[in-house]
Amino acid sequence: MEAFDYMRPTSVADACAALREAGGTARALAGGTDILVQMREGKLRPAALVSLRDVPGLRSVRREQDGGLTIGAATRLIDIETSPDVLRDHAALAEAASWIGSVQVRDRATIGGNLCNAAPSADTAPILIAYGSSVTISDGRGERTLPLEDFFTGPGETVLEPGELLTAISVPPAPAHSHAKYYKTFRSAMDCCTVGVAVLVVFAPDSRLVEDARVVLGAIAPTPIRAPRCEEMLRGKELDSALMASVGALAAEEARPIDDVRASAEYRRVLAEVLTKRALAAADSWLQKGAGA
Amino acid sequence: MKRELHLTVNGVSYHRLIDTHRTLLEVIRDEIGLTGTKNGCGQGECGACTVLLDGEPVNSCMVLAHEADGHDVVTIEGLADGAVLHPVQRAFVETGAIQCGFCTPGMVLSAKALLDRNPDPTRQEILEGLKGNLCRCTGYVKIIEAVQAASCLLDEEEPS
Repeated sequence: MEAFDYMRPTSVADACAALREAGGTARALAGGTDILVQMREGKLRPAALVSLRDVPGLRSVRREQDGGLTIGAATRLIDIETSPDVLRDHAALAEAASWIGSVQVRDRATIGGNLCNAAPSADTAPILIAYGSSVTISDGRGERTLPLEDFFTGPGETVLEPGELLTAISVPPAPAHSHAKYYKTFRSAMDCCTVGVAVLVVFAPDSRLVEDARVVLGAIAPTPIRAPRCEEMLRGKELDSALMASVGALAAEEARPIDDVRASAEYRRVLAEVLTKRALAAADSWLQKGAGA
Repeated sequence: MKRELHLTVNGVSYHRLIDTHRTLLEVIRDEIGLTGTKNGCGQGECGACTVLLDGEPVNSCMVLAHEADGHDVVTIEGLADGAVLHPVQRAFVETGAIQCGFCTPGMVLSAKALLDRNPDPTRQEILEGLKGNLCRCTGYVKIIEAVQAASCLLDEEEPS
C-alpha cells in the first residue's frame, strides 16, 4: 500500500476539520474493509485517512421511544445483526447485515462504511430505504439530515462534501401491520450481490389490502433505487398471486441494469422480477400465519 | 509517516515505531516475526490472515496496524499452552483436517472464535462461522468434522 497521512481525532468536530483541511483528498476510515482493498488495488489514493476509531458516539444502536432506531454510522455490522433492538421490529435489517461477507468482515465493517462506499450493490441500503431511513451528516459545526435515498449520487459517489461526515442513520418505527424483507442473489458467499431487492408492505388491519408499499432495488442502477411504479401498483389492492406477478414484471421494467462481470443486464432484470415476487410472497406468508392481525 | 504503536500479541507487549500505512498482518509477520498468520488474497476473502482482535476474528490484512493500537491480538502461535495443543488444534490434528496447511491457522482461529460464541454449533452454523476461510485443497468435510470434535472436546474439559 502507498503511504498516506493517518489521523486519529477524538471528536466529530476534529474529524471534520481534518477531512476539510485535506480538501477532498482525505477519506474517513471506519472498518476499512472496502477502502483498504481499493487502496491496495490502487483504485483509491487518499492523501490521508481520518480514523473514526476514537470518535465517541458513533458506535451504538439506540431504540427511540417511538420504536425507531438511531444507529451510529460506525456501528459494526456484527453489532447490528445481533442487536436485540434491531431484531425486535427491524429484523430484515439485521438479516441483511448478517449476509454481508464473513464474520471477519462483519467484525470490522460498519453500516456507515457500507453506505459511504456507495456501491450500487451495498446490502444495507435497499432495506434501510424501504424502512424510510434518513441520514445525519455533520460538518463539525452543524448537521443536516436527508432521506437515505437522496444520499447516493452514483457508483461510489454520495452527497458528502469535503469536511462532511456521516454520523448517524435514523430508521423510523416499523409501521403496524407491516412486513419487510430483503432478498439478494450472489455468485459466491463472499461476493457482492448480483441483485438485491427490499420490499416493505403495510397492510390494512386484519386485511390483505395493501395500504402502502416500498420497493427498493439494489445493484440494478447506478445507485439503489425505489421502484415507484411498483409501489403505486401495490397501493389500495389486495395482495394476491396475480398482483405479485404484475409487480414483479414491473420491477424488471423499472430496473436500469448494466452488463458486468457478475451478471448480464438481461439476467439482472429477471432477478429483479424473481426477488420482488419472492419478497412479496414473504409478506403474503407472514400474513397467512396471522402475524398481520 | 511513522507513529508509536503498542500491541499485545499472545500476551506479550510490543512497543514499536511503525509506518501508518502498514497492516496488522505486516506488523505481525515482519516486525514481530510470527509467520503462522498467512498472507493470502489481500482482499478479506480467504481468511488465511485471520487473527483474534480482542477475542474476535478479523482479517489482519484489512486492519491498519495503528487501528489495533492498544488492543489485544492472538495469533495461531498464542493458542497452545506450551507443548499442549488447544482442543481446537488437537481436534484438527486428530481428525486429519489439514492438507497443505496454509489455511489451517485461520481456520483454527475462526473455529475457536465460533466455539467461544456458540459452544454447540449446528453444521449450518459451522458453515456460516467458517464462511470467510477458504481451503484451496477443498478439505472442508474434515474441517467441519474437526470443529464438531473440538466442540465435544471443549465440553469434556469444561470444569463442572
